[in-house]
Amino acid sequence: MIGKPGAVGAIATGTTAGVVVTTEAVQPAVPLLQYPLGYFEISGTLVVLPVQNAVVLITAVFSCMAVFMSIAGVMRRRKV
Amino acid sequence: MWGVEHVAMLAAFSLLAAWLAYNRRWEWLAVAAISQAPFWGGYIADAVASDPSPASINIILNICAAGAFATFAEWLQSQGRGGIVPIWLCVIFLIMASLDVVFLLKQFPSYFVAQELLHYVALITIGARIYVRRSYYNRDLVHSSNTSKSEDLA
Repeated sequence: MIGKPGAVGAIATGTTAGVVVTTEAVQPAVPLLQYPLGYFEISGTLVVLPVQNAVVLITAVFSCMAVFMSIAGVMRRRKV
Repeated sequence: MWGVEHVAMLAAFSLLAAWLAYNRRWEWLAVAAISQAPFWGGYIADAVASDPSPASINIILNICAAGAFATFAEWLQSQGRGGIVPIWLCVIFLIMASLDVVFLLKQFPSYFVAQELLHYVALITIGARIYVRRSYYNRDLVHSSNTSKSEDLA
């Protein structure tokens, strides 16, 4: 039962962080969100990764880990 | 912008919702409604914030929906009522989130078609699960050695 509140908490935190950084009203207030964190090339196109997108991607990764842990818990109990 | 795809999705969801309500499957009606959240969330983001490619909002909503389905699977399992179908829904929504991530980094033309297709797959999965269960309880299924296994999987 330790994993269940963890999964819900991680998804809630990720959702909050994602919504906050993608809200249009927040972006002018926090110019750092538009700061380009990196440039890389995908199939001939130069892609810019701003801080805003990086925050969304990082929170998505952690939220996905929480979901995977929940899935693993369900599958493990099915095998018992 | 409102289009044919929105009308089609609304019609498909309404039909499924009416059928689920007719069978009094309220928890699965809630699951179907949650599965629609990313689609309509993207539309609202487009309508309100004029963001025609709201991949960020869709990532958030798809993972939220996947988390809700994982929690629902845990609840169903604790009730001894299966739980594998919400896990499949979870996988579908994680695939959608993956498409959103790719679209966020580099836009590709088949993104919207793929998203709509996967939403229909989710609705069909929910409908099929209820159909299998309903048939089982009505003893419409052809009884075979795999019947108990099908019941367990659903």
